[in-house]
Amino acid sequence: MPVHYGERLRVTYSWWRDFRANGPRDEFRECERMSTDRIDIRHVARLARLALTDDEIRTFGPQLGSLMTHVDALRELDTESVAATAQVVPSRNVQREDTVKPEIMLSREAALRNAPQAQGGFFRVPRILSEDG
Amino acid sequence: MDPIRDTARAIAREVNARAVSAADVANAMIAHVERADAGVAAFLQLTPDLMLEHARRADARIAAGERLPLAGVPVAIKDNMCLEGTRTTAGSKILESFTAPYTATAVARLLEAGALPVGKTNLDEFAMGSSGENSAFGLTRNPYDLERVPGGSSAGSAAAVGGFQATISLGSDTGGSIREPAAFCNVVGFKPTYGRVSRYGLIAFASSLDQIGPFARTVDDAALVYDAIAGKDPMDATSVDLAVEPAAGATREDLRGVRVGLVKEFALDKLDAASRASYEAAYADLERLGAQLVDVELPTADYGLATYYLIAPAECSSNLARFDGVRYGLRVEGADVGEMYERTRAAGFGPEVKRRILIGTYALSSGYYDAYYVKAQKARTRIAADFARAFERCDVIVSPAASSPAFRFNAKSDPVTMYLMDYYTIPGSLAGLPSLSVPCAPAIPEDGDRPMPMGLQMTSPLFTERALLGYAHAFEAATQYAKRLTPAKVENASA
Repeated sequence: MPVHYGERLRVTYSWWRDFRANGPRDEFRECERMSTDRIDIRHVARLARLALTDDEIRTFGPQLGSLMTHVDALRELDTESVAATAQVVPSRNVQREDTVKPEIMLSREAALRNAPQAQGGFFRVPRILSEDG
Repeated sequence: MDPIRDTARAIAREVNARAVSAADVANAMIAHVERADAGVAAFLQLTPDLMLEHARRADARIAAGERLPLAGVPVAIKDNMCLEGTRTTAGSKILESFTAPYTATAVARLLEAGALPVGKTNLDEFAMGSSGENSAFGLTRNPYDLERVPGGSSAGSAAAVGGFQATISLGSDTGGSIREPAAFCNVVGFKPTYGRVSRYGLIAFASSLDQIGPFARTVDDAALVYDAIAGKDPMDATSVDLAVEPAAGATREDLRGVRVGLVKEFALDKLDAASRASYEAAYADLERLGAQLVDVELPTADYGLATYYLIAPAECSSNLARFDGVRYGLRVEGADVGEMYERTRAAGFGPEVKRRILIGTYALSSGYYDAYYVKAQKARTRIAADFARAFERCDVIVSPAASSPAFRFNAKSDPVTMYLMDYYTIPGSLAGLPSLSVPCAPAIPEDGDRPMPMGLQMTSPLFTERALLGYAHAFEAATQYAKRLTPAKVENASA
């Protein structure tokens, strides 16, 4: 459990109460202050394969913190004996015959037509393994 | 017949009767749309050649004795749906040069029904936004006040129909992206049950929520489009194999015997006075039509936003992993493949998309997965259960579609403030329910001096689209609110 849990929760409760009572407002300073630095935005960006500028890190860091503070309101909702919903309609394990259907396949040419680089019928990518890897 | 202002039903009737040809309709729309779109900028691309080609095809089929439900009807297509041979960008620089290699099922079904593609419409990048301001390719303006947003994410599809630059259009709705812009642009916007319409060829944002649906200027036209696009598609395993009862023409004129639920948690006292008056009038209209108004509760509705802003970004971060500079779209070179990925994505995605990828990646990352993603999925179960309970007491739930009329550009600079725009639409999306917005009484915005469109949201149980469209038709027929407004003159455009 992250630290400051009780404090964040208190702020979040009051924010939702305020929203319920007064509707949307433009100021979220209180929650912004709570954004803390608990999220390592550089680490998350690396996981997402997203190069961020210093400016973006300064902007997205607090915004992400602020949003996560809002979503922490979910903690107060009892989901103890509740199953997770991945999707809402009744289909389960839809399968099709394991056969090739040329009429619904893209030709190799069509599949490569949007490729930034293609060579010999394949997608071309930069070197994947470094010399020491 | 007026090919620009008439309904889809009227155009199709005339074209099927060969009173006018589809080619005539196409030529009229082509001549009209370029000038009409100069101020609104609903379109990223016009497709006059394709429009004429489909018009010729429709005319030939009708000459051979066929009857086409959307014969000669001009349709605009949100640019996150593939149309073979046309550029399909999803409003993103990363797909700026992408040419669709096939056609989305919903689009193909419309064209097969005789509709004519006017062009591809602007949207918030990858359908992420509530105002239309997140497109990489410029702003679309609200046809009823060019200084205001059209709503999002289906900005151009709503604006094109509201501004008479297409008769009908296709949008996609993940958390309100059809209903909110429909409310802002004076049109009917309809999100069918999740799984009713194939998502094949729709560029994915959040796959457990995304659903394609129509915009139209009448409920009956929206129903005509729904009838053409709904139904099982073998190319989308999540499309549902249930018979689709035709909804068009199955219209009702009153609401006698219908129990209409008003949600306690959606009490109108949160709204500004003008918006509140519009919805109070709408509820009175429903009662006058014979509906029995009942109070229902959705105790978990207030958790909708928090739940959505975990689930949707999580699915988006996973779906958008495919944009890596290898198979399609932008590539920015790097020393190795990892650097190429990072630079490509940094250059190709706009700020809102990056923000959501970061939120989703964080929520799915090791150590937080159960606390955030699984918790949100469980909250989703409770929200759906609340709706199921509410529908034991009522047939349809009504609420505001948005908390205000269209706002001015740059009015909501804080992301969370923008996310709050979806407050009323998100719970129904999480439950997968069919939901629509139908015009109600125009209201003067707090920061304006003339009336702007408003939308009444109606939401019904899973797979009850036909009944839902019937209720909306009764409301529309009795009130005719959309006809109180006319689009701003393009000549007044300040841009």
